Amino acid sequence: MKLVGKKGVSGVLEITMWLLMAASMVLLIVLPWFVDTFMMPFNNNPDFWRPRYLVTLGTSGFMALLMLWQARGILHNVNTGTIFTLHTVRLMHVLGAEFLVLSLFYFVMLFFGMTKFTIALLGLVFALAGLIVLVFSELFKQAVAYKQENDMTI
Amino acid sequence: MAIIVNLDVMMAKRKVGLTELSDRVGITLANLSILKNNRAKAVRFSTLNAICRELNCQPADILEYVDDPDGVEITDD
Repeated sequence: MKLVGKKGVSGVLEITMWLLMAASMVLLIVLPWFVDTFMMPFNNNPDFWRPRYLVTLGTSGFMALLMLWQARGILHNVNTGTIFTLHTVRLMHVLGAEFLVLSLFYFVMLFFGMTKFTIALLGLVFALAGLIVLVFSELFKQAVAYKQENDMTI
Repeated sequence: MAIIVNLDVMMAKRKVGLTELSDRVGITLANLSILKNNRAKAVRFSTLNAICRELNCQPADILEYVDDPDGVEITDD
């Protein structure tokens, strides 16, 4: 099974990112209807929960869209053989920052009555993921320097 | 960088063109051009060996050290 390349797993993943982005956009557009139809009928206090669900799910969906865009860009670089470039480093840096922003948002929502355990866990997971991606972006930056050095070795 | 590549001087002495030399040495024209224009960061011994063989010269004929007081000394740290 080929992992890297347009006909490999990374090629399939890039297409998957596009599909997920399309699905995210659709879900964001229908979010108010979705919350009113599927969540509020089962809720005892819709006036309290409706805005919180809309804000939490809307922000999560929007940030997911941004993250998918960065991931798609990274996979595109993998598929075109230009993985070790400063563009990839920049995409990873932005992706890590987006993880941390979403993590911060979840921690803030803890103070607005959201279900504590789930939100805290999500915040922690995204914080860790963000930090790991940022560390990897620095490693990629070093890899780019090594590649440039190697490319300029005659 | 304080190392000067005098490849063009040697090529002129031996009357060898860039394209011909790249074919004989076995590296791309682009890479040989990078070397000739002092833009290379490093040279492999195998490349230097091939160049000296084809131009019938010594490494000192190709590489020259120039004391550069304003330049930055490169270390391996």
